[in-house]
Parts: sequence; C-alpha cells; structure tokens
Amino acid sequence: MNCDELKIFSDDYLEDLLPNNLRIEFEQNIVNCEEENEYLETCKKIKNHISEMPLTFDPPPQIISDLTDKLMQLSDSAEKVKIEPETLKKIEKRSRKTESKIETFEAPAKKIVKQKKSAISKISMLLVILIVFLAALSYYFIRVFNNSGPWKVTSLNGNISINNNNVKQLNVNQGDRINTEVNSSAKIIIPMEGEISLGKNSSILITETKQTTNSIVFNSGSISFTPISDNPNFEVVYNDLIVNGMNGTFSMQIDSIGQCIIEVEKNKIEVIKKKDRLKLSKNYFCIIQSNNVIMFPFHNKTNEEFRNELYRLSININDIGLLSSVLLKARETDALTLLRILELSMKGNREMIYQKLANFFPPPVKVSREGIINGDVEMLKLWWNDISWQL
Amino acid sequence: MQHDYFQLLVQAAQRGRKNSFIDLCELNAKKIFTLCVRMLTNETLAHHISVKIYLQAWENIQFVRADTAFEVWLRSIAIYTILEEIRTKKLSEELKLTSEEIPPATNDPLEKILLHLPEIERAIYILHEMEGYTYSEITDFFTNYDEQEIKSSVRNIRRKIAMELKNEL
Repeated sequence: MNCDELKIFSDDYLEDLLPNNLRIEFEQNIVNCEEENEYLETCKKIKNHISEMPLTFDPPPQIISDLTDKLMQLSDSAEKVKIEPETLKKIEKRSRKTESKIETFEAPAKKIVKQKKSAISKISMLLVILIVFLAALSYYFIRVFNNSGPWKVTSLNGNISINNNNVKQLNVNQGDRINTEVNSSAKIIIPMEGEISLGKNSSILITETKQTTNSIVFNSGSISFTPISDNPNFEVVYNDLIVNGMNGTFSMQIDSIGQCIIEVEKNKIEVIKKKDRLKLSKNYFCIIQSNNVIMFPFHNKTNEEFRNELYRLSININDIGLLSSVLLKARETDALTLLRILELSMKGNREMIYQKLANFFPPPVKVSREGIINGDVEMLKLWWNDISWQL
Repeated sequence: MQHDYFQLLVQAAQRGRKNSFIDLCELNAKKIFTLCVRMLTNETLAHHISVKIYLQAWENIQFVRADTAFEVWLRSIAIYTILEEIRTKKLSEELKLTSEEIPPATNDPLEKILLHLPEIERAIYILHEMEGYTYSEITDFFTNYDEQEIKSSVRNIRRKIAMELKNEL
C-alpha cells in the first residue's frame, strides 16, 4: 500500500471497518507513510481526549429553580410536553444500546456472533414495540385511576366543620377545608398513604388528592402525620414553604407568636423553600419564623442555652464569636445541626465546622474535605445520609 | 451504592415525587448543560433547552426502564430535544437569538474548535464521535443527508480537527 491508498483506508481502520487481511496490510505499511501515521496518532489522541474531556460549562443555578417553578405550576390540566411515541421508541432503543456499550467492550470477534443475533434482534424489536405499547397503556390507566380520594375525616372529640358545615364523619376531597374548634380534634385517613391528626383550633385545606401527590395547606393550629406506607406521597404547604413528608412521622404546630415548630419523630422529612432544601431527621426540631425564615434545626436533647445560641446564629451566621461558642458546645447528637450551619456558612468559616463534624462522624467514601468546603451539594447530601443513619 | 441511590430517586419520581426528580436533574445538570452548550454554542439557549429537556423527561419518566441508566435515558432525550431545536429554531426565535452571538469561552482546544464549526457539521461530529451514534442513526435526524454524505462529513471534520490539534494534544 502506498500513502494514497493508506489515506483511503485510514478512516475505515480507525472505525474498525477493515476486513482482516486489509487491516494487517494496513498496519504493516502505515509506518512507511509519515503523514498518515501522524494523522492516525492524532486521531487516537483526540479519541482519548474525548473520553477524558471535562464538563466544561457550569450550569447557572437558575436552571433548577426555573425547573422547580415550572414543575410546581404543572397540573394535570396543564399543557404536556409529550414526546412522540416513535421518538420514545428510539430513545429507549438508544438508551439500551448506549448502556450496553458502557457495560461491555465489544471485541471484533464478537461481530460474527452479532450477525447471527440479528434475526433474534428483529424479534426483540417486536417485543420492545409491544412493551412500549403496554407501558403507554398502563401509563394511561395509572393516570385515569390516579386518585387517592376521598379521604375520610372522623371527629375524635368535639365539633369539626368541613367547608363551614358541622359534621361528625365525612368523606372529603380536593378543595375541602377542615376546621376544628377549641375543644375538638380530628383524624383524617389518606387511603394507602397515612393518617393526619388535626389538633384543636386548627385549619387545613386539601389541595391535592392524587396517588402521586397528596397535599394540604396548613393554616393554623397543629397537625401531625403518620405514614402507613413505606413511601407515602404527602406534602404540607405552609406559607411559601413545602414540607415534604418523605417517609417521616412528623408534627407541625403554630405557636402564640406565629412561629411554626416542626418535629420529626421517625425517619426523615424535607422542608423546601425555593432552592433551599433542609432535610430533618428523627428527633430533630426546626422552627420557621413568622416571616418564613428557617432557623437552624436542633436535636431534642439540646439544652436551652445551646438552642438560644443557635437561634441567634440563625439570624447572624457570620458572627464568628457565636459560631465558635456553638462549635464548642456542640455534641455528637448535634451533627446534623452542624452540617446545616456548614452548608449556609461563608467559605472561610467552613473549615472549622468541618473539623468539628469530622471528629464526630468522619466523612464517608466519595466525600472529600475540599468538596465539603466548596459546598458540593451531592457530597453534603451523602454526608447527611451517612450521619442520619448513625444517629 | 450510587446506582442504588439513582434507582431510588427514579422510582420515587415515577411515583410522582417531584423533589426526587429535581434531585436527579441536579445530579445531571452539568452534563446536560455542557452537552447543550457544546451543541448549540449559546449559554442562554442552553439554559432554556435544559429546562425543556427536564420537563420532557418528567412527562415521560414512567418510561424509564429498571434496566436502563437514567443518565443514559436523559441524555437521549437531550439529544432529541437539541436536534429538534437545531431543525426548528423555535426557542432561538422566541428568545430572539441570532447566529452572530459570541460562543462561550473555554480553554479546551477541542471544545474551542467545536464551538466554531458550522452548526450541522458540529452536530454530526458530536453525535458520531462523542455520543457514539452510527451513521445510519444520524440520518434519522438529518433527513436531507444520506448515510454516505454523513460518513464523508464526519471524516472531513475529523481530518480538519486532527490537522488543527496535531501539535496541541
């Protein structure tokens, strides 16, 4: 082969498309053609470079907040951004194909087997179409029957009112408002999900009764939620905050000065305020001030003095004296409080909080000091999970 | 463990939990945004397309199979959405973006070359060389080109890029 012939075959060689005899001939001759040899070497370097290429562009945080806003606005009646069924089929085919590429490196010898498999792949194709069709059909039925209502309300004592009518027991649905009086309390069962207890002088509005989302607006008084499934879909909206029940047993109470106190008895919940997401583990409290500021969470074993300092630190997180005092007094059970302080502190203060926290709970694998100091969201989540598991 | 965590988030999202889905998007945000900027060369457009991709993924989350990695599935949706934008220019027109916009800055020599390639050539090269699409699959997106033309285009760009990078890598 001369240089011109090598040039014709070099791309086929790179893409492993040359028959065996030509490939051997190509490899024997390429060293004699400097230009093509150099081209092949550069192409190999580019291929390596592509596989190690960094993720060059940082996404603006606004993307996730835009998405959150749009998702929260999305209702069943909203316009859907459905993908054509044909495209979905291609996506699925593509996903499975790419996945198999990641998992196994296909040696050239396997190509013969691949040809034999082409007949089988046609049958698989038909099966895939059938599966996609069945999935679409199931999806339709799930949506049609996706309603967890009606919920069942029972008065435990005294009078309760639903939409201002006094009742003892009733089924309630989306849009109903339930109020208790000064001497009354109620129990509300969400089928397959859990039970809400409504304390005296309380008021809630049911906003969604779907199997995929059960949501209430909490207006006043006190409520508690006990899940009966492992993964209930239950959310409480309180002013501009959302309390995601996750799998936690929790209570919320509005006190005389308008603060909302959240207590988690079992498992965990999440308090969401726009982009800020605070996870609360069992035995932790959190106070939401009347102006919706989320204060630092604290463990039920913390003493009054420590709570007061945390309260003051929530208002002025950059007070280094106060921060040092909190770090000095913090105990092992306050680890998740410290992690929250670390998350919200300025970078310069994170090192000392990290040290204190790492003394109690060394960071797990995949969590590095640098990552935590730089506020890596995923690492903070991993560490939170690791600590909450041990607490 | 990471895989299990992703699976849990996908399962929760499939049950309608929006927060779990947002977690999934956050974990993939950089990869998807980089792909969008690389293909569309405009950060504003990449921002809006990223949101569109996630919304499409949310609406179709029920179709993620247990044996498919979410990241791979999301990436496929991203590719389809980006190519639809390249074809229709719907969002670019809505955002009043022009082709004279300056591409974003980068230090990576290959990235720099890609950002300055003509739009179709860039898309074809990325699909074949970086995303692993076959020539035949690429013709599905660019119906005006036959397989031979796509192949020849990839090879021309490959040679051009090799020429420019031979002393830089």
